[in-house]
Amino acid sequence: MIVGLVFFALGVLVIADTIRLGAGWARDGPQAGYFPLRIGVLIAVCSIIVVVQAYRRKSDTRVFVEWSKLVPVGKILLPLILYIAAMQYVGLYVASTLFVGGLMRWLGRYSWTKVIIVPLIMSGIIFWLFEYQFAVPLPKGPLEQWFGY
Amino acid sequence: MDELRLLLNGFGVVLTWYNVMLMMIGIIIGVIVGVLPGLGGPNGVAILLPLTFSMEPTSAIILLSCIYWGALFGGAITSILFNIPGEAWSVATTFDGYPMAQQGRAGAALTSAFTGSFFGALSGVLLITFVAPIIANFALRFGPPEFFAVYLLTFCSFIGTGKEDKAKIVISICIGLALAAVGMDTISGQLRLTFGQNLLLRGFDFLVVVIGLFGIGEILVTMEEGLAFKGKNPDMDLKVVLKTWAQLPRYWLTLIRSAVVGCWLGVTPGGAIAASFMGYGLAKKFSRNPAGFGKGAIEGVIAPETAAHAAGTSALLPMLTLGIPGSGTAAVLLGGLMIWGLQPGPLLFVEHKDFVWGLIASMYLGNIAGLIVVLSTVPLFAAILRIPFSIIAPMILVACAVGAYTVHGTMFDVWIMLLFGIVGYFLKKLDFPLAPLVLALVLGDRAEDAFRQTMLGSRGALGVFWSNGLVGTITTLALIILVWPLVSQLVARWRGRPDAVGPGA
Repeated sequence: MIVGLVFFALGVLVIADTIRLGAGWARDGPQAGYFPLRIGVLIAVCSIIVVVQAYRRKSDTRVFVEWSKLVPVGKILLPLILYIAAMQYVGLYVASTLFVGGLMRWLGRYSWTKVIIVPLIMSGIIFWLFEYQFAVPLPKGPLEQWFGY
Repeated sequence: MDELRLLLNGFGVVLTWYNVMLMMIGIIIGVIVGVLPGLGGPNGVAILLPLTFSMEPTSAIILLSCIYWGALFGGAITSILFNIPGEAWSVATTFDGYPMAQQGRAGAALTSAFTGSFFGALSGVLLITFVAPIIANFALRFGPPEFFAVYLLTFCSFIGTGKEDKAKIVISICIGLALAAVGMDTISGQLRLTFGQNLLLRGFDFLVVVIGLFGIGEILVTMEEGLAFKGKNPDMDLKVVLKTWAQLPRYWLTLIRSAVVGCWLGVTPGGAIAASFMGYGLAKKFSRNPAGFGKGAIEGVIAPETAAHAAGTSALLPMLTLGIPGSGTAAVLLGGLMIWGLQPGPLLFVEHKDFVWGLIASMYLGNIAGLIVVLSTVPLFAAILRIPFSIIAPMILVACAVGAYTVHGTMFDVWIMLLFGIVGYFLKKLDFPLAPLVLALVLGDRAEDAFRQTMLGSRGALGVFWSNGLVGTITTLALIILVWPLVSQLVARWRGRPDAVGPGA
């Protein structure tokens, strides 16, 4: 139901921007906003339907996500956000190594030897593949510069 | 036979050591992608697509389409051995596949699943070989109104045949269309829906969205469910394979029925998922002992796998001939074609003969290679599944991040991926279908262009969509499919309870 409202807001947002662009007909045919406006309206209308349906099915007391289940989701989502944030500063390789290693230790409770070896091998493979095989540069940080890449 | 000559030519293009090697690599990656939860066909292809930009288009499409075949094969492994469908289309395979594995007949189940898949795929390819040139020829006469009508047909059949809540499918499609509209308007050059953000100028890249929605979203859902793999050991050896093969001819009717259902559903964008359930249902209906279904009937494995593979393969038919993908993965492949500068659609058959027939030839070879690879390496893939999720999950996430970054080489895309991952998680939880969203995102710009070109031509008269027999038929068909469920529901209600007033559909 809340999601329905979010979509409704999204629809309204689209409508607002398209009206700014001119959603009507110019002399030479439809303007830039013509098509998206209709889409915005459709989103809004359908989200109302979804909200109404959710309201009618009030007897359906199925909880969206139980709090206890949100914990494992958060356990992977938060590190993921940190990982992407870190990637900007230390580069993809260092961040990936820490990310995989950290999650292995935290969620999987592996011994430190495995936690160190497995991510290093993985990063090595990624480096070999992308740097030499595909020649696609991935974001690098100070560590790689220090090695001379 | 002109087709046969072209096809042989295509085999010539494909049969180089380099391409055959790519084929093998593709199949193996595909099976891994199909086996691992959180990595599916569309997502696996999307991650690897940026890496193929530097390759020759024919080699690249061979690699990517083989990933697709591999993923189709791989789904069966997890369903049968672990009772976990690796892909949505292999859900129906678990009904009988897992009981068979429990009875110690895992080898037989896997063999029949793979062989069924192979048969299904082969029928799909045959269909493409002989029907695609005809459709492409026919579609050469299409102008903007016809194309818009065909797009309309695509969207309408999603709404009309989808099992989910209709309003949710419409929202899903519309979000896709709205996302496609973000960025520079292709006709007037105006900026739309960017809200002053320069980063949004380019619009959302569908690859990034797919990786987010399917990859990250899937991992989050899997984390919530807390997967633990407890699988059966496959007992695969040549004897089991041969013994099962000896049994299969008995089920020829099931095979053919499923293949036909699959081809039909694959061409209309209902997709492999619907096909696998329908194949299963039909096999049960016509079986001599329907009571055996659900308890390990070999037909119950063959039927859905054959149908799913036939559908997955024939989904490429509308993609090649009309530029309309029949499934999520086909949508990603379509986007790839556009990036390589190949405009999908009828002209492809005229201007890039080598490419098209190379692709079709690679479908034959890819599926043969796939059958051999999966039959011989099942234990290996079963072993991959025993790697705990706490190692696999972060690695998949790293692969997703790398994939999203390599699309354009910007960090911004990685953040967009994260955003869509969270969005995908919520949409999945709330039963919003994701495939229509991706489809609309890929087709959005083209559909809009077609519509506006039509309107420019006709000065805004909607009547142009009924202006000649061809476009009129397609448009009418689209509208019929759109309202069909509504009508049938009304008829059923009117027959059943003449005075009952139910909630609107």
